[in-house]
Amino acid sequence: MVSKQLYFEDVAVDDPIPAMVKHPTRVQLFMFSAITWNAHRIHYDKDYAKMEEHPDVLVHGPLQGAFLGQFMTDWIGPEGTLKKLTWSNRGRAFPDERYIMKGRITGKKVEGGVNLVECAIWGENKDGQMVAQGSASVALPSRG
Amino acid sequence: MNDIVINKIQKRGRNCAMGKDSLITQEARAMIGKETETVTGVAHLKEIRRFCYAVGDINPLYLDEETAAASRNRGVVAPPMFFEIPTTQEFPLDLLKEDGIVQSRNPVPLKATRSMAGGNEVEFFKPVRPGDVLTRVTKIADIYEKQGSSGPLVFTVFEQRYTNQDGELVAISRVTGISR
Repeated sequence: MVSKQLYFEDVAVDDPIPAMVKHPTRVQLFMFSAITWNAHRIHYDKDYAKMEEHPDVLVHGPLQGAFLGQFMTDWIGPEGTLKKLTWSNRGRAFPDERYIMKGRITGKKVEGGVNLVECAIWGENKDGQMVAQGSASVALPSRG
Repeated sequence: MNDIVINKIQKRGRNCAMGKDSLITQEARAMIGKETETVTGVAHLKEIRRFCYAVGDINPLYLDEETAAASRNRGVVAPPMFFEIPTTQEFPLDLLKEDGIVQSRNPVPLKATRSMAGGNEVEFFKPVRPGDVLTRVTKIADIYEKQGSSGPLVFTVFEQRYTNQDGELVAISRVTGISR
């Protein structure tokens, strides 16, 4: 859902970004495999996932990336623009477990009339392990 | 992954890549910097909607025509990470390996059998709209190796440029695949 609009004046360097929690299910992983035409068995076949030394099926790296994209677009509101999104997959996340995204503002600048905010963002699995680590650059409207 | 870590890995990678246990073939190494493929595909509204529901991103800017029409986009747009979908290639089932991955998905010949997603660095320039015809040009930006706890890992970085039917740049992604 679109949240209320965020403005450039609302944020300051070192501010935390309100966390977003997802609860990916096995059904959701299947649907994401389908829409991305990805038949890799580690995402829907637990027995096969064990053959690749995973204890269970894994939440797709790109699904975590899509979650991080949503984390940013929900936060910045309909007048905000996501300019850049990066992440690296550093650990495993499993379905039927909480996936929580957090972030912090690392920079603010006005460049060519655009109000840019730089953020460090990451995703944690239920054990609090950082399984995706990245950054985002967003443009925000001004109240002025 | 921050730049310092990447640099460290690349330095280590270049060292261990010379070892006899390297998974990177000479043929693969020769592909660095080369364009591998160009693919074109249409951004269908139904696929945008399916992507939103699969991700659980039920933003009315993507799903509600009325809200979208009244927004600054003046119409439905796709969520950020949808841009990869229209040019994802289809393939017959008999090309799938036992793990479910199509052999041609990684055009780089490696002495590795398993693969995982490594991450992505995406710059967004234009929103994707239903009906857009996207063209993806892929270049192998880098291939490097790192010793993991259970053996060598190969990181392949694909630089992908996406343009629309008007020749406008939509997104540039640097997507990393991990093979072991």
